[in-house]
Amino acid sequence: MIKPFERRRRITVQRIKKKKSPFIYKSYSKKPKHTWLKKRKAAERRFRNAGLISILIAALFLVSLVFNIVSSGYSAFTGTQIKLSITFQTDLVENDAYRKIIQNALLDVFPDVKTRKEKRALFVLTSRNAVYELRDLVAQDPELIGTKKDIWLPAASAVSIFYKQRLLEESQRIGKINGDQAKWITLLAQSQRMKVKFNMPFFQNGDSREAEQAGIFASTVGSFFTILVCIMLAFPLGVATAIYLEEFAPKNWITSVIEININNLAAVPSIIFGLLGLSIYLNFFGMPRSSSLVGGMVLALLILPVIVISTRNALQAVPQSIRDAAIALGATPTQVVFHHTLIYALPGVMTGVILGVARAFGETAPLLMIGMVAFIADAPKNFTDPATTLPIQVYLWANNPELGFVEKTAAAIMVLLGFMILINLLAVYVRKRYEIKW
Amino acid sequence: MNTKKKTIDTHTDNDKSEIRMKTQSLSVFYNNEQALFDVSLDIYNNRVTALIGPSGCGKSTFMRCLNRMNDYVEGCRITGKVRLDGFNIYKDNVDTILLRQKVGMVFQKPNPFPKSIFENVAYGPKIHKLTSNKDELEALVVKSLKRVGLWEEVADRLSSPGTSLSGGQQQRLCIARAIATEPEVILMDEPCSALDPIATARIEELIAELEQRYTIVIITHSMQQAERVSDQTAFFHMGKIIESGNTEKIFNDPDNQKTKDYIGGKFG
Amino acid sequence: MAKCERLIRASLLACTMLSVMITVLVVASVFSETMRFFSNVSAFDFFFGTEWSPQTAMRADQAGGSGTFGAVPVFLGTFLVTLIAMAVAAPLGLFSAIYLAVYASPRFRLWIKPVLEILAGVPSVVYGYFAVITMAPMLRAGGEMLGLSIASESALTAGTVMGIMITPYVMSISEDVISAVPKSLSLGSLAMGATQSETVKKVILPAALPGVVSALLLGISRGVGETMVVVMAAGMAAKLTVNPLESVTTATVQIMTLLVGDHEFDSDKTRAAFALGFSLFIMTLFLNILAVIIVKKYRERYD
Repeated sequence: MIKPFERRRRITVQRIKKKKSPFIYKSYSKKPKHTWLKKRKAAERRFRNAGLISILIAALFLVSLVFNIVSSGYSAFTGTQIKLSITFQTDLVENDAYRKIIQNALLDVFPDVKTRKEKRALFVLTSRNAVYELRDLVAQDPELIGTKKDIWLPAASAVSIFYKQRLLEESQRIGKINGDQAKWITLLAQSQRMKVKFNMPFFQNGDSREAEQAGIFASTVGSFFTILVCIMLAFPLGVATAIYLEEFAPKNWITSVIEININNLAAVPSIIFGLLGLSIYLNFFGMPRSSSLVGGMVLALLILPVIVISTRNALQAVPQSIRDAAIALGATPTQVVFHHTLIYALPGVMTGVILGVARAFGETAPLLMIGMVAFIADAPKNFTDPATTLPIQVYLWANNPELGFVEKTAAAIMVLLGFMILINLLAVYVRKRYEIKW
Repeated sequence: MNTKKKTIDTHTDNDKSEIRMKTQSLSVFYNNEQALFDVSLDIYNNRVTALIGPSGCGKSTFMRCLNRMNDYVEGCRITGKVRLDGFNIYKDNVDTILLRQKVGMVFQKPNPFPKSIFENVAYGPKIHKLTSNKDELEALVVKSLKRVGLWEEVADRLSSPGTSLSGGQQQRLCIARAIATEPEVILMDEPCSALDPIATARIEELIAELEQRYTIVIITHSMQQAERVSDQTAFFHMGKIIESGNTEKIFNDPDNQKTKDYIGGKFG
Repeated sequence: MAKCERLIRASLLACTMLSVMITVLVVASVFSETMRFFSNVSAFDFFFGTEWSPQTAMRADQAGGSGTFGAVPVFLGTFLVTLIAMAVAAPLGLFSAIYLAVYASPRFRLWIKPVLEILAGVPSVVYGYFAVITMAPMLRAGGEMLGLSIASESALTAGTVMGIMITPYVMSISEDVISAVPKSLSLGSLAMGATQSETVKKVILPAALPGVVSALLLGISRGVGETMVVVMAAGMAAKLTVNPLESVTTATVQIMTLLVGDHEFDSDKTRAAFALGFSLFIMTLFLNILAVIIVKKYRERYD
């Protein structure tokens, strides 16, 4: 029927002539056909705009999140100090009555404060920690005793916020600053007795009941310890598992069950790992509650599947020809892996590990469950000390309604996000710099 | 030989006025790299025009200019003119939707949609609302399938997926899909390269039939195919048209040495 | 040489076994506690009871009192919050994915992708803070304008913020799925004069449907297991309500309140948390496996 390679005969039938109709212009007529086209075009525009708007909404959320946090948190990086002429009366120093010393100094500035109520309002202008600062000062320099000196003392959190942001209304609403206090602060400011200074305590201290003294140092150290434990456990275990599964495991049903197992572990809600930590680590093995050791072990479980999966992907990306070449040179299977495959896959492995660490770093829920929710004022010194982590510090402060802690929460989030961005940039750098393209 | 040539010549002469599409010093750039250089070509009504040449010579780029599919290539820029019935299709007020309805396209690899055979063919008429009711639509689908000679083969399984057909059938389905939108020009980008010889012959036969109704532009790597199916041939090399004109002439008595070498199989 | 080889292999195998053991341990530990819970409290009461007040069972005379562990309000709350979250995340994620995959210019994509990745990397505790500080007052003010009173801790607040949190996740999976549809299909449609939106709606989405469905399933699974946002922004009290303006509680919130803080471990109260955790585990496991199966089927179709 068909003779494919025979020159085809010219068909000489009358060619059907068609009317030329260049309907290709946008100046549509009112034919029904063209109203249909207009509708189609409108639908196209709507659809496209819906997509664009969705993206913009998502971006807007990020912008408002960042704006919100930065605008309410930046002020926590500065603290306010009040200059007072302190008289180190010998008897008061010896009785450890620094509180009285400060109160006297305040009364020197505002001599007309007489009633108990007024006095109480006046005495809370300085932070409670001002007492400890004075004590330290005297301990360092005993010569001060009996002299009089101008000293900058930390202001109370509410004073600080009022002075920095003039948030009179808000400060009054939560009953922190009354009219008298506002007047005094203004007077102090006019007589150059107030200044704003970089808030070192925020980076040096642990948690504190006083907002102006609360800092992130202890929780950052806690985070560091926890992540360290987590990496030391999850990295070798995860990479070894991935190598075995990818390069050595026989392809049978056991292997595939293991694979499914590990893949599903990656999608288990993190709170389940908290349950595990609670029942096995704490109750069964009796490990120290609230410690960074247990925290790290729980997080290790969490990122183990992430590391296994990314390592396997990186190993898979190494072409078979490289393995063949090594084998052809007489390398043993382990030599092939450790001299070639793993080395070439390392950038991908590292990227996966870093991203896993980023996830562990921001994780909160499972750590709360193993008791890392305690009030920690001092940085942990070893892995078994009670510790807290940065996200948990955020959670604890966010639950504290005091105005001073609102800015602290936002500031801690800024530090947390800063760390997250750094970790992610590291991942991007490793990928861009070392990745081998096959 | 002589008589045949003569008939064709007169044939062509008669239709010289019937230039359907025309490019005038068409140049195409991908980002900063120029892919086409000042290409001018006439495409005649109800004729098959074959584009031949080695890989990467700009045939596909040229073809994609004819229905503005290059609009979807990132960084693609075009200078020069492409005229359909004398109207420049690269003018701002040209509607690409209407243009592509007029200038259909068949791809190298058969690409039926993951829908039923019926839905594949009905897709074009539906989006363009070419029919006003279900009966008309069915009639149009049947007509299109009959025209590509697929009707007998698929009449009893119109609802099975288009991907269940064989390669050659899939490609004919794609042609049916293209002609269901009632185009006037059909562009075919190596329509047979993924097919076996029997399916290829079937498609070639189909092209010969379609030629009566449509203007066809076809890219092919097979010299025999170009010679068998086309009336006009254009030889592309390094983004330029080296030679174009009557197929008989190009294949038997080319003016240019390069054309001769390519057709003779010296490179490509 | 051969000895060393064997040693390395054995240690690799040991590591793998350890990993597997751990996964088994996770399930086993939660499962055994759950079983102990169900030996005291009937499973029927747990899954169909409508009153959830585990604290009362702490009284010695009433240990394991039946009827106090009815988890229906808890699951209903979880369902409600997740539903609201998906009502935000599904359209936002899907439309964004379509725009990025089909319309966006490379330059736009270059800028917007890192932004969305940041959104995906923000720790959930930060979203919780955002919900409490920004979203709750905003929704309350909006509700007042419409004459609605919205509780300060409401399903709506928690769900909306959770939705924002899941959006980038749904988006990136859907985008992968949409980009995986062979280019030839969309080009075929465009070459026939279809508009981009017609191509997306009639060719790309039907082809990518299984992938999109599994993206949504994975989104739901994340929402169900999410903890911090709901702990901070939803409520504690288990109310049997589907009103999004009221405060509801979720399984994760209940696990947290039952287990965080000092408590004796060996009580029905804490075991109830394990029972909730196990239900959560089964739910997410089911969703994930379903999603994986759907994607696998879909991959086979195009490979």
